[in-house]
Amino acid sequence: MPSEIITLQLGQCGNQIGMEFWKQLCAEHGISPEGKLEPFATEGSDRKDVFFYQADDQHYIPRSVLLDLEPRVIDGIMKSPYKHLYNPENVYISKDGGGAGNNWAQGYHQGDKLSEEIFDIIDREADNGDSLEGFVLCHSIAGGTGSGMGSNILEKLNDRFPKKLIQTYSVFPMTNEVADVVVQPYNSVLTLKRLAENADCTVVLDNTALNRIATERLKKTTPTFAELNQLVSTIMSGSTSTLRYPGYMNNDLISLISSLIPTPRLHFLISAYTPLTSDNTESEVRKTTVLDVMRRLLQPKNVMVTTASRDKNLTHCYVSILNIIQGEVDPSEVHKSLMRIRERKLAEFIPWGPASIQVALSKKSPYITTQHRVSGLMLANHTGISSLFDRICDHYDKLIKREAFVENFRRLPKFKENLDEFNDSREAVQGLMDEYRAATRKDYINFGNSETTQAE
Amino acid sequence: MAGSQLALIKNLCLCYCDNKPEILDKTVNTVSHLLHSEHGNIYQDDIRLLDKIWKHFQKYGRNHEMLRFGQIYARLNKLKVLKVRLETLQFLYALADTASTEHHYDSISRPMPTSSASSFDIPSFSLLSVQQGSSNTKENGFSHNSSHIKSSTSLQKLLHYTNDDENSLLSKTHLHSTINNNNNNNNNNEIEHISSLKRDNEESRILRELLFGMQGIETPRLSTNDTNIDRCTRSLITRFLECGWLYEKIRKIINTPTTSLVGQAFIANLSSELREYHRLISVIEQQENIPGMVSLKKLHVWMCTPIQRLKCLAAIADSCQGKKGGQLLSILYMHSQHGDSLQQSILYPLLYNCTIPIRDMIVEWICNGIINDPYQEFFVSTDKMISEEKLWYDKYTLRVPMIPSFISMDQAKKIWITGKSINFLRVVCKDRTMLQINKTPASSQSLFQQQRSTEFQDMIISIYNETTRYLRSILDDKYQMMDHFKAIKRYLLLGQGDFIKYLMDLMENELNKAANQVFYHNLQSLMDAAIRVTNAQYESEDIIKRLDLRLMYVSPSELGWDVCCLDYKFDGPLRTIFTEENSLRYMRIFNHLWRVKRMEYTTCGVWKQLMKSSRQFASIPEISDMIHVCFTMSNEMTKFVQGVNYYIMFEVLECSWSDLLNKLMEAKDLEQILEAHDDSLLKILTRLHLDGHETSQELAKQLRCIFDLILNFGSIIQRLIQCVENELQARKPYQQQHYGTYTKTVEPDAEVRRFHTILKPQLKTIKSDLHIVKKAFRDAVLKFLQQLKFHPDITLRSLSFRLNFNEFYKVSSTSKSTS
Repeated sequence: MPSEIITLQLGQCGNQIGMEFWKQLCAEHGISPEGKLEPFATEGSDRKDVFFYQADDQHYIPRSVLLDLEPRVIDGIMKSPYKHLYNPENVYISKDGGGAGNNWAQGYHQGDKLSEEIFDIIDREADNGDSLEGFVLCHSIAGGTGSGMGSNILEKLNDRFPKKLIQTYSVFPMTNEVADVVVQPYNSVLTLKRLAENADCTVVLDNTALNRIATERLKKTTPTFAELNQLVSTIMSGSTSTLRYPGYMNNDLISLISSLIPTPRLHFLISAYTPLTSDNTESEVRKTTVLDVMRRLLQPKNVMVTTASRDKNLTHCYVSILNIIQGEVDPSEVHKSLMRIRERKLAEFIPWGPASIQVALSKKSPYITTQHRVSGLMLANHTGISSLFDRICDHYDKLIKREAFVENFRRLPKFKENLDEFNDSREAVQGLMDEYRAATRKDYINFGNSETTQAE
Repeated sequence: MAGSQLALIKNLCLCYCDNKPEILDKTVNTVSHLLHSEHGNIYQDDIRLLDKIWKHFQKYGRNHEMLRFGQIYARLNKLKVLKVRLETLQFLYALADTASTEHHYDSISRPMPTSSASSFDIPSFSLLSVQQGSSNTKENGFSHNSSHIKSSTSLQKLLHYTNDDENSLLSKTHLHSTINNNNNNNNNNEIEHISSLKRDNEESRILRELLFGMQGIETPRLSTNDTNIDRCTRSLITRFLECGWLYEKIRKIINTPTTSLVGQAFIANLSSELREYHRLISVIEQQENIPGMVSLKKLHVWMCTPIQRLKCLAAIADSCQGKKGGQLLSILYMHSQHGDSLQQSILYPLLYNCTIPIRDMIVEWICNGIINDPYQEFFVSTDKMISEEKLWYDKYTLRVPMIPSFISMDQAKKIWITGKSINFLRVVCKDRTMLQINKTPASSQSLFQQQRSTEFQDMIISIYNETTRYLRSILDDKYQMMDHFKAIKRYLLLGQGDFIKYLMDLMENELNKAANQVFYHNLQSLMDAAIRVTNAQYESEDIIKRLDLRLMYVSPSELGWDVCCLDYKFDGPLRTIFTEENSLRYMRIFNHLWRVKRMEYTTCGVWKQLMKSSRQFASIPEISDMIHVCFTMSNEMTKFVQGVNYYIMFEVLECSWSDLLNKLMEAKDLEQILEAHDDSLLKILTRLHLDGHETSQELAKQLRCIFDLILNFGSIIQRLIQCVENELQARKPYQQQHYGTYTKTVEPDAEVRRFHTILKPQLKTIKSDLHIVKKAFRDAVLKFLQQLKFHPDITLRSLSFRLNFNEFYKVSSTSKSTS
């Protein structure tokens, strides 16, 4: 079974969104919480083996590794109806169970210590498939386990599987109010560096935007975690739908992301989804055409990342866009919609290379009924993402100036001698932001060339 | 009597009496008496009334009573005691009329006449009466004529009988004797009597001659130049002799041998018309024996319609000469589209009878699929040499000239397809089910009178529907046609992406070899492996069995990539839909799609390698700019290939597929299925610029050029990565020494030297190669976009829109460089 993908769920947040993701996949493929194929699921044009494998008794088992340093969330999963879904050997909770205390350094250190056991699981899982395509990592960059241990695993994955793709679904913390975790900016910057350097593709899930969407679009005053996680799982299942329903194009992760990501570091993707409904809201049913879907996907209010369209005298623009449209669509509509979007200049693109809105059509699961004929997911590479990094750095800079809360870090190996790691990471993030900003200009084509040209 | 009138009569009589005043008065008296006499009408009315009574009998089919009535009437005539004979008859007729109303319903239940007079109508001649209603006794065509004729001949006999009995010795006209009886002026009548006798003798001589002449027999004694005959009579004679000429003409045509069923029917019909004509002549002949019954003028009146009839027949026969089958019918039909009701009435039985053979052929063909056409008259012809595989295409052809003009092209095609479908079912599908068709064959006239009845159309449509529905169900259920269409889309048109991707993964090494070193069996096992692990494994066994590979013609410069094709095997009736020709088309399409996929595969591979290597290469800052250039180039190429791919997916494959699906859903018969399939294939070929059009060939060439550049770029990247990896490998000892883990000392100088002498020159060539490829690629893309702009196919033009969505490439005739 070629092009398998192993999902790694890390920490509290990672496991929560991971669980929602598997719930969604099970529903879409007609797999019961116990992993059995539902009797109605006979349609059979879907590919289950990208994310699942079949045990000897024909049960479908997710290619998923659940990791956490504290037992709370995973215990919750193990008490849910889905307890029999996962391979129990793939569930790993640190034995001391103390968690990472929202400390990146703690998580990173624990990850180091436990790496042997963790990679035993991952290696076994990797050997399970015919030709593993890559890993998907679900985590949050704000806490301790997902960010710290996640960073550690990212680094090691790259060394151990140099040919495999690494995609992450990274939840970015709220930046517009006082964080519940004080060292959140530290954690974020330290993780961002790893994401920039060790991941091939990061789908940014901005908690600020998720909250905003949940309140605005779903008319919820205080969205619950479960609701936010559902949004995330919608994005995750949507973005993997072309892998699960094979068609002429986008049948593997690489073809999906290679056209989205032009250069190694510009791999932070924003996402948007329409139409959004949660379980108990009755949103008015509108006639959804391809053009409607594509237009709505370009509206900032549907984008799951809060980004600025302009900052510091720059006009941000799209590096690339991929729209995955699910449902019964007349293929001839696509071209007309694209024409309309270009006519109206609804999307601004980079000036230094060819770019377009790519559209993938994907089947909708026959087992899930929705009110909407068509739904759309956008994965886009937008230079405006730098403003998100900018906000994180702002918070970080404020903290680091006072060297606030660094004591917790100093206790751990990586920071014992000095705080260089902080500076390195901050620099790396700065470099990332600079590159994104440079990508708005025509001369990005010669980016990083300046010193060599001077030297020559 | 008005004075002027009297004067005129006097004048006339004066001329008549050769200016002898002694007889003038007498003559005037006689004339005025005659003029005033009511009795002149008696005979006339008598006859008319009799005629009515005959008809009355005929109407109710009482031939026997009619005979009896005739005898009684004859006796009544002889008695001469009854002065009010006419009145009595009238009374009787009135009685009969009232009595008959109660029988009226019986008559309705009998098959009623449907057409107007169509043959030479004897009673109308014999009794000089207006034709009103007399012809109504005929149902259609000839079958009824016989009874009709019987009745009229018996009438003739009766008339004879009457006359003979009454005045066999006198043998002079009844009329005169009656008038004589009534007029007591014997002397004058004597003179008139003799002169009229003279004239009668002359006239009957001419008449007798004429009767021969009218049958096409030469009449040397009758010459139009005969000065003894006055001009008026001469012109009449000419007119009658024309009949003879027309008769002869028709007879000749009848005697020409024909090899045509329709022609035979036509000739049979003509001869029966002539037979009728003969009958008419013979009736006249008999009448002629009764003095005073026939005169030239009477004959003229009687012959009026028959002459027209003959003329019309002769004209038709003339135009139909040498024609057969549907052509002949078309001509007849053309003639029947005439405002003249006489002509219509002539043509109706002709068409009716001539259509029967064709009707039978049609019925045989659409019900049993058999062509019973010994003389090649049917509009469907068959070629026995054609093989089973080509049955649908070539075995049965439509002979367009043989389609009767009253059958529309649409109907003809439906008939053609229905019969073909039956044969297709029998021969190709090996299905011998007899379709139960609950439809009685349409009557012959419903073929050419389609505006009056839809019987024929209904028959065709219902049998067509029945047959094609059955064929469709056989194709759908027994041969799973739709499944094969879907399989084609999934495999030959690369819809089963996971399978295709994995197939490429597996075959890559093999296909990178030169084409003549690629072996079928190697690839075949790889394909089987790909089927086993991808979603193709869930495909039905039948479909998997059909999946195959084909290696195309090998030329030395080609790689395995260029010659390897997926193939899908068909058999049985499917071979008709997916012909060898279509298979070749699919192969061409596959080859193109495969090539584009390979490009996608290559660009993705390059991207991945760059992505993964760039992290390792971070330790060599000297190449970072080069890596960046590689990335932007890779991006450009990826976007190009993806653009082409998206275009192929939406504008070409998906659009034509949804189109095809719709058409297949609607398609009723195999012909429509084939048409839909053909259309969609052609559309795909055009949109993939594989249609052989000049601009398309240019495009294809340019695209290949671009693809070559992409492959070239791929190999440069390989070289770059290889050489940097070598460098990294070479650096290892020094680095390890640096960390104090390696014992062997490495000179830093050597490190620098190696960097400058080995890596740098290598990088330099790679850099210049990259630069060349970059420039060439841009130029090639620009040229490609330029060419697309002028392609006649609008869909293909939209490819340039996709490839240049953000208008990065400045397509114009002057600008060549973009950055």
